[in-house]
Amino acid sequence: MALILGIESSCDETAAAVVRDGRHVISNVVATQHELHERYSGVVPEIASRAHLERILPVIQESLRTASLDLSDIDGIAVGHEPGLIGSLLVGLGAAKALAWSISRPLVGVNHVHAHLWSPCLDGEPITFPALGLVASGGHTALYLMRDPVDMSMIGSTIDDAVGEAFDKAATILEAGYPGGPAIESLASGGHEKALKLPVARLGDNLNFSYSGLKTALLYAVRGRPEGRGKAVTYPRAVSELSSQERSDAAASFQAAAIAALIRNINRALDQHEVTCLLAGGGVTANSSLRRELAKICQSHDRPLRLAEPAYCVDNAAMIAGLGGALLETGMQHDMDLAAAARVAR
Amino acid sequence: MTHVVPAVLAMEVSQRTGGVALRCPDGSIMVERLTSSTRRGDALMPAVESLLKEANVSPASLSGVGVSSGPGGFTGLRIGIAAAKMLGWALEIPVVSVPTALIAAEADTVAQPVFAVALAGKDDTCWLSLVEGEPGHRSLLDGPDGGRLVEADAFHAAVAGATCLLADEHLPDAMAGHALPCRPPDFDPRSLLEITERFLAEGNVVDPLELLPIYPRDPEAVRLWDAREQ
Repeated sequence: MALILGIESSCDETAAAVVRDGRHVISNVVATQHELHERYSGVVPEIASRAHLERILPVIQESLRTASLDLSDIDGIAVGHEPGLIGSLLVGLGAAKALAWSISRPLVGVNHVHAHLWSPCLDGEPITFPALGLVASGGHTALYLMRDPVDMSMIGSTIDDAVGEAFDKAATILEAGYPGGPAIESLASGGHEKALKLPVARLGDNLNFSYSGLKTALLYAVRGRPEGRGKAVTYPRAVSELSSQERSDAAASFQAAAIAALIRNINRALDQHEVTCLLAGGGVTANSSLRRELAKICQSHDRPLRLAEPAYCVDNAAMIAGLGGALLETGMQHDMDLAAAARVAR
Repeated sequence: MTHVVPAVLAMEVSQRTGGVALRCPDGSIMVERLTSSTRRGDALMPAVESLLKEANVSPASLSGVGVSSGPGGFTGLRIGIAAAKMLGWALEIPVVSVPTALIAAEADTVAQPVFAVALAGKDDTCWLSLVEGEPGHRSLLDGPDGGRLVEADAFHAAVAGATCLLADEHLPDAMAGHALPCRPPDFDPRSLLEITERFLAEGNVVDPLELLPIYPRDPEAVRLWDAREQ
């Protein structure tokens, strides 16, 4: 029975968790920073880094307290070290290295996106590989072929905005609030998804995604074609001129188009690859409409759907500890020179 | 019978140059100088690990840790502070936080009644600290953070009482032209170690939960946002 302490600080959540044997979550503590970034309608990296440094120790202490464990009970330290905001990653990584060294336990660095793919098996059954994996979040939109915990190949990804980033921008356009995902879902609940004809990007036969066109199409549909350029740009209409039904219709149309792009490529991937199931994680997979559509496409392909529990859709350290435990089980571990990386080569 | 000295670790990674120093149980000091941590990889914990291994000192036998609190480079400061928090908590040892200006002044062995130390220069401002006292007993004159943000037009008046200025290449041009002898600072981890030991003896320690760097300014994105909103 291996107890792994996971640490996550890749973006705007400071998190720590204890997971047993890669799947059983003993504690899961997340300190969100949404209130610090709301004013800016997006994450400000330097604010995020400062907040991580303030919160990292209390969060780790709370994860052990709620697990009724001492630090000496921990068998290994897992840390999300790539990809993410570099200043934020460095806080968690610096803490993890010092902890692992202090208590003479193995350290393992975990890819944050791969950890999202692992999140559906938290508090659930083991994964039977090979599997198809979807990560849909504010920073990542990608499909993976997962052969085992170590061997995960990206087979498609966004070429511009992540789907969660598009939700944030749509929320800004519609003045729906922050974070954008829940705000758009709430606003869309009373809307008609065919009210606006919004594009689903077609990028040929590959499995890539694009969301920048959808975002622009929404902006023009809501506020009209712009005049002028740069700071002098003006729009014929303000969002305040829309009725509440029109705002809901716009949100519902955007959400449907964003989800349709995901489903189309999952459908292709399930046609192309022999997999046992579809795993889906990341903040956007908490969206109820997406969860329904994922269930339908899996049913049509007769493949089980493994969705992350809502608590594990957002950035969290349980997924880091879970995958970290699985990696340690394979014999992988890292030295003190483990580095943070903002981006990861495909 | 051999006298065993408490093993103390000092980590200065707030600037482009710094390093790690260890007071060994035999009383000697071991030092590993480092260039700044980069965003691609930090050298702090590898240096700590190798230094203690070479000294045959286990993590559990450390009796205190000191860290520079800046101001300085964000990357190095975060790595150093995050590590010090964890070492203090995990090893249950006291943590000392030392403003970088004091380390620079202590590393300068020339006797001076009052040092002015200018750090983190940017946009015609710098973080200015005044330090007094003899070598080995130097202390900061200004408040708990040991300094204040000074603008160029107030700089000359602010350093009027000093007899020497320690300033790096980031000192704004608008602050040049002062009459003080000026030297580049040395961020010597050995100096941090000696201050750490002095602070430990005085009980001048910080709760790891409260340990944070000195930030002279709000984040640049916030300042730009505020300027746009005004």
